Amino acid sequence: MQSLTDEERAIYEWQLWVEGFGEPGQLKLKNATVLVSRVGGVGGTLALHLAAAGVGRLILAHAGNLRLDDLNRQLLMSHAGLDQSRVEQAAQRLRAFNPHVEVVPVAENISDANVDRLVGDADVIASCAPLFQERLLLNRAAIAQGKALVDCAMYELEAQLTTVLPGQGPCLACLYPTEPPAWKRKFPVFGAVAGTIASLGAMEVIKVLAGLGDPLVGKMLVCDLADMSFRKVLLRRDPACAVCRSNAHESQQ
Amino acid sequence: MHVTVHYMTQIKRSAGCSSEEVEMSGAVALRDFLQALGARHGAAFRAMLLDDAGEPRRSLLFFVGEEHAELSRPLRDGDAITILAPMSGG
Repeated sequence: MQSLTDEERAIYEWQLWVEGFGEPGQLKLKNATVLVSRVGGVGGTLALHLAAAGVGRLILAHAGNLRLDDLNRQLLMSHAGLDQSRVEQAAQRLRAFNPHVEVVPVAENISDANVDRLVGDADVIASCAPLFQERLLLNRAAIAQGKALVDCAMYELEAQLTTVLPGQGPCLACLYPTEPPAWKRKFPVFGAVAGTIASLGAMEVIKVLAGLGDPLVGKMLVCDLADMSFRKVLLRRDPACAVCRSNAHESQQ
Repeated sequence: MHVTVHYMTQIKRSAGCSSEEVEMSGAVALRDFLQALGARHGAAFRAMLLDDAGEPRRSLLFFVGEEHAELSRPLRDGDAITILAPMSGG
């Protein structure tokens, strides 16, 4: 396990004061790898917070080039980067922000072809894609490999967040046994909604990695920024779930 | 029986409101309540809430109070129901 340098102790000094975290918690972050599925409005800001917190290695998966209509919420990008790779811009921004973090850009979205490998390279998965197909693929691989998954999503002025720990609560397929048909790839949203749920999601990843606090396992945070309501609801595991029912990690309970 | 319904995400638009108060007569389960609710806000709302067979859609999440509820759950006077259409915006 890598130890902290003096410069890292200085960078992270304010969070090292957090009770229950300290240098042992910081070392857990430094020696961890997080896969961030898409670095758009949610994933980009989430990745920025993980870089700021000193997560040692970030794998960023996102295909395609920057478009004008990305710029109201994708804060790792710049106007000068239009028509250029999103994931490369995100990686450059994160490296400039914190050179102590190893950033691995992957110019692909999550698919059947890459999901097992990408999940296998990570300790925790941050699920921030705009399609259920990618979220459910990540969920399946995370359950199969016993990896924690933090799922962050938004729509209009609303957002939600939950954490899947294999064997310790429901998975995404318990909630959505099939792809919800009504969801559309393009949806109304403000960048500030993305930033809100991204920051909360980043905190959830940090908590899981460091063993801090009480992650949202079996719970969902539901936020409506129209009236600033934040509720936690309890999620039910589906005993017939095709993904987590018969998983080997059940035996750890 | 008096029930409060909260709508979240896309179904809020179809309902045209974020919440409403609903009166029901007699004891009902969540499924019965949702099937009756389907008649309140027009075809688009009904299509989002119920499938072609008139069953509540499995792609929606239903909560009674703070608990993710099964459709067979009996409702009580004063219950608050939340209907959450799944979101995947990232």
